[in-house]
Amino acid sequence: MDPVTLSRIQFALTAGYHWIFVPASIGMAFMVFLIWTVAAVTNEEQWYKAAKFFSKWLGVFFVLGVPTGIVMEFEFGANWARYSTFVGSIFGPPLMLEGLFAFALESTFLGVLLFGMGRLPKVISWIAAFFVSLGSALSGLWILIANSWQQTPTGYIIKSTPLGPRAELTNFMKAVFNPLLVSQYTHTINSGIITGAYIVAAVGAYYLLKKRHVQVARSAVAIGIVVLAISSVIQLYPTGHAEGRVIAKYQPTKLAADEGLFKTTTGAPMVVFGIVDEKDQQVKYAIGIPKLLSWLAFGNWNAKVLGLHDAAKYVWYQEVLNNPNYANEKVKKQVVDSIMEAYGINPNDPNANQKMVQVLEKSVPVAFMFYAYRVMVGLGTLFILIGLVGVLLLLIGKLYDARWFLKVLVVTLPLPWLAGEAGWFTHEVGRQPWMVWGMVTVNNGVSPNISATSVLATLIAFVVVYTILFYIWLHFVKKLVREGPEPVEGDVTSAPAPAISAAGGGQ
Amino acid sequence: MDYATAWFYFSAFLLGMYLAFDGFDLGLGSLLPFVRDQKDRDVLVNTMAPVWDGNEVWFITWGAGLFAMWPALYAVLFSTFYLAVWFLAFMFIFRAVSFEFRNKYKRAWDYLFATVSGLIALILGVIVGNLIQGIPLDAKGFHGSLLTLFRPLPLIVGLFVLFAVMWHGANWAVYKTTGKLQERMRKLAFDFWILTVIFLLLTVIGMKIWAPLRFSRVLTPLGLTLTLIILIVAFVDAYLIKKGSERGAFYLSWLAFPLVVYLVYYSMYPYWVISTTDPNFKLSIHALAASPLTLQAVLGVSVVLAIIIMTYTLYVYKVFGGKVTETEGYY
Repeated sequence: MDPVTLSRIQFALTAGYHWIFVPASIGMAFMVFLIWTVAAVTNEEQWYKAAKFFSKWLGVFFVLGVPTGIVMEFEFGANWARYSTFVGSIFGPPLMLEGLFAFALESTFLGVLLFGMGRLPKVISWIAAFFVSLGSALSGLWILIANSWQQTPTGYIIKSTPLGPRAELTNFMKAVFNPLLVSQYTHTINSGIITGAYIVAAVGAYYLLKKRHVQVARSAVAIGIVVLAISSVIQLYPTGHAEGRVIAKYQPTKLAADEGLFKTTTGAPMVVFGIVDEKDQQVKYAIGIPKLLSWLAFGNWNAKVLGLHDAAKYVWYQEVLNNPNYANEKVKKQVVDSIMEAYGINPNDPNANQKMVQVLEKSVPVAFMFYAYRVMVGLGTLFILIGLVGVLLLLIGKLYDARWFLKVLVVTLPLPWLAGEAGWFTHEVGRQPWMVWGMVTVNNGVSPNISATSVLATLIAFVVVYTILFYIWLHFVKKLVREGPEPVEGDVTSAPAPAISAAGGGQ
Repeated sequence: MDYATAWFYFSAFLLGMYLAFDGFDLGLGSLLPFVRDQKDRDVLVNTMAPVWDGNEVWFITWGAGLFAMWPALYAVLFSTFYLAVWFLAFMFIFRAVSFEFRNKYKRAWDYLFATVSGLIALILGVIVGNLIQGIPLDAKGFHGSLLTLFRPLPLIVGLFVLFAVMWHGANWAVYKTTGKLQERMRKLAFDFWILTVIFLLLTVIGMKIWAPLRFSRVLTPLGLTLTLIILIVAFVDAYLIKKGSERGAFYLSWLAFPLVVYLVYYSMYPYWVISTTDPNFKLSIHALAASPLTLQAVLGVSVVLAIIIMTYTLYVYKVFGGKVTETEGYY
């Protein structure tokens, strides 16, 4: 395999792994702040115990979130050097501001929260939880400013410099508030909150099933379910819907792949499920709702939705060749030619443009996108269902005794991660072959001077190290579950006998 | 002062803060094998447990600052030294993990923690040493190998950083502990102070031999003044260690890092990279800089944020001020 493919696999692997810990950190930070607030308002012991207990959970996710994030920062320079040179002066500042604005706040006050609990006044823990939560929300904001800019770049000009052509800022605020930012940010942060709420609810459900820590567990299930119900609805509307509309407008190839739409259609249906046949360019056995996609994407039941081929054509002619953000025709030709050459196309070939349209068309794996997108949306719908059933049970006073429902919560705990990963993969794979929409492809962005052997070596190292780390990490999660929160008066706290000796042996 | 220069010295500030804050974590980590008793090791780890995560942020910000303000430099260095860069990244991962997961198999984790802490300090020094000496890079590309990183001068600088953080880490431990452990740390602080001063002198001599252009900047009035201040700080620190001070020695070694980083940056100005194969090939901080608007847009806000961070960091250190005697972590 070549360095491009290997670097892509490595990036997908390290980003996907990072994404196990990040949404949980963001969501837990929010939940922990919420629980500390409820504790302060009610001044009830079980809420304080819950607040302390889930603060530890936040710590456990944070531990691996930080170093796996450093890896991402290194990756831009090491594996994607040409990309870094091309857009670094726009992509880099948000990363730096993340450190100064958010990450310092988050890390510093997480220390206060974790090591101050029980030693410092409760109000300090509450304030610390607030800053951790604020820090993680801001952290996500700067990262998603950087990410969304690559999807829908604005506020820049491409100039010729002694270091080669590169994108430079013309308007900082315009680059920050690019078309995708608001919907992508709210959708992503909210997915973290769903994950956090799910963890709190499922951990509480587990203790209720085991009849341990019942008072803390009831608080956890109740608050987790309420937040889950609200956030899972918000995930569909308005955030998910809004993001979809931006994608429809700016990234038609991604939309076509998401929906398995090969041919341009007016009044396009929303396919609920079907089998993608990439060879015959169709979705077989499709079950769909007529005209719904047109309405969702453009607010008009009869709107025209571009099929993959036409979408690729549109992207190449309108968004690349007609991109107005070039300083002059010369630098534009230089960039466009280098994109073609990176795919082995001679820019002087009379059919060069048609060939590039084919490259764009073939770069998006339709079947993968179609299924991943359905996994995300399907699970999102399931979360709404679970959340609403839970709230209903809570309202009629049967939530804590509905063992079947508590079991469902525990068993389905991995699903928010699956949904989050599926969402990210559609988001990132769907922009192929572009690293930065319309200007840098993966073939143009890769480091010129790295060998396939080096990348293979680091890729193997990541697989090995990340697997071992995950195993150790799971051990710590299990330990946290076994130990449970501090006892509240009148509660059974101890685990069954064998678990105690195991816990003792672990010390 | 132009914006590229301002950013250059702000970058020095970020690296200086990283070494001043996380330096004692790295140093204390490296010192764990010098402490036999497991309880003492637990106390030492607990002295830094609440703050090390926040300390590490300075490194991330320094790196992101290089990326944002000199994207071409970031790209060239990281892709040229591909394997070394990933080695460093893995060290950071192992450090976080060995720190947080050391409840079980403590001794093994502690040795891993000590090794990676030391290696991070050493490698950072080696990287800076390479920037000081210059690298075999010119218009035709890179003419070295991984071994190029480990020439004598970079190795000397690497050891200098390693010993300096160990000196600093021992000073921190003196500040945070009591009794026998404190006495032990005081002795170690002085031992590593000696090694630090020796390797500081070796670095200066090495610069005269292998990096004459950089060395000539040290001989300017400002360079000499900075050198003199560093030496005064170092020797007053030795006096304070010997006198048995509780925290003064730590404050001074804290101050020593930004001073040394400023001297190094000053000696390199205005060239990030000088070529060892082509004397005319130099990459200046201006030639590699990001676009003017990028440099302008975030300088003010970055300086203000750095001041805010310093303020709440100070508050947090005050909250966790005082001696540590506990051996239990939060898990």
